[in-house]
Amino acid sequence: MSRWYRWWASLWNRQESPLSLAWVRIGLSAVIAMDLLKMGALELPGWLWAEAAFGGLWDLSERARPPELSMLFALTPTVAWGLWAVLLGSVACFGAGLFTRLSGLIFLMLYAQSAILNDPSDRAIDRLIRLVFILLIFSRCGDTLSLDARRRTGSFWGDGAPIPSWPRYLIIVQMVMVYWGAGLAKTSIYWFPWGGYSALYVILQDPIYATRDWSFLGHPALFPLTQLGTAMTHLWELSAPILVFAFHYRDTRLRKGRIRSLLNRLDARLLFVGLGVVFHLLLMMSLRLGIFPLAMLSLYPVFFHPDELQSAWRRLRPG
Amino acid sequence: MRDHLRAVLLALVVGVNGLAALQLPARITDKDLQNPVVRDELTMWTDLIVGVGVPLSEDQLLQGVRLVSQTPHAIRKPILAPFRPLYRITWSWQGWGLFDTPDSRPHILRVEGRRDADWFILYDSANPDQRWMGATLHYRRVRALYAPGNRKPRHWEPFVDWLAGVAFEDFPDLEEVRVTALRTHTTLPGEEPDLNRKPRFVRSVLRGEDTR
Repeated sequence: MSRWYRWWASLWNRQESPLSLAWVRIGLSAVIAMDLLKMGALELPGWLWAEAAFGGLWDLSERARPPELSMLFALTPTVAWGLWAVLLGSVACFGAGLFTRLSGLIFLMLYAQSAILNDPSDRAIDRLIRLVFILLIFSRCGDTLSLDARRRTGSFWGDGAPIPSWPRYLIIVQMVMVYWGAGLAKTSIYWFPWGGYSALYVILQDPIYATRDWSFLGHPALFPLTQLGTAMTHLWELSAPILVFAFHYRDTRLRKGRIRSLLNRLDARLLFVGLGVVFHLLLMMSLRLGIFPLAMLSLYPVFFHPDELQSAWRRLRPG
Repeated sequence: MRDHLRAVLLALVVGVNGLAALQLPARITDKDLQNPVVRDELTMWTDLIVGVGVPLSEDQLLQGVRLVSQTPHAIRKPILAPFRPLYRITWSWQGWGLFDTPDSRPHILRVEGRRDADWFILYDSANPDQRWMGATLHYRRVRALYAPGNRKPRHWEPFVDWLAGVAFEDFPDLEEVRVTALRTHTTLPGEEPDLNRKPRFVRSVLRGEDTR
């Protein structure tokens, strides 16, 4: 017991460069900012987040517990646009690493309010964004590639001081829970061989979500590809916990064990991440899922130790 | 001391969130059973189980699923209760799924306008040539308001009234706007195609009645 506890305590006590989390901060903020800009360009805040009494969508009198924001302000279209502007400003500051923790906290709390205001429009990816923001706020992801680093050390790269690794580890655990949970939730017969592995074909026929008419995939030469895609997607999601073992075995690669040596030789982590990239890019191409694919991909830097990102950067850098 | 505190707190974070995210068998309500997609699934699973030699009726399967699904939910709820305020303030509940049950009876959103006695289509999600307001209707936060499952979307009426208002602005000669969710049926290759489209949640708005 004490050996396990020592291992557990030392795991969460590790430190590393802030680079991986900084890339998540920048990427995720960029995706959210793009989404908010699109919302603004479509002139939606004044309707989606305002009260029905002022020409908006929501009748707050129907709510058992109204959002806290409505106790401070009458939710007019002007206030809704104000909420939009503060969300955009705070996420831009967070992405740029300007008053990183404060801007992240402001964004998190107001993003939650926007979700309570309009819960049907708040999707699973928005919940994941908020969960990741909680971890990023607790991390020191603003210690590099940020205006805060520039202010403090005179360099955008910061002073190179290590930060705690545990927020990155927790984001990995969160990603595993998301993928594995999604895999386990797939109980429809269409996701199984005895349902003909036809889930992907059925999903692609939904006119509201499909980016185009995919009915040609019913052709005998193409339908098996959708079956392969269904099987791969389900197996890939269900295999997410392997990531935890893959990280542990990489960490203890000098120890013996057949499974350890197999997973390290296959580089199970890279395999999982590679399949994830393909999965999300294909989703983006075939279905209208909003920011889901890009937001998920923006979290992928957590799968890499900052040293790996630095050495990749050195290899890719011209000269 | 600080290391120990961190280790204990993070064990709690992982434990609580792990429990919250734990995928439990879905609770099937009587309303769910009115959904033909759920009924189709139930029939297919029953056929499969009967096919491997286990005598089972749909009702027996349903009772079994209900029994298995209720207990874990009943255990989890009180354990997570103390953490609900934290989840609520950040609106960050766990629980994940993506197309768990592919909708074999998906809908087409159709928006039509009337000039005098003539109806014409403004938007049809199955037709790329009829895409008035396409960018807005495809935007994820708007789509979430109208994409129907078996039940009528909660804010269907205000959504339709707002859309009608935009249409009356964009087309000054329109007299009426009608919005319909057309239920289709996806059949698999090799099965008889089902071309029936069932209009649902039809709502018409006359000029002057819109809320915009």
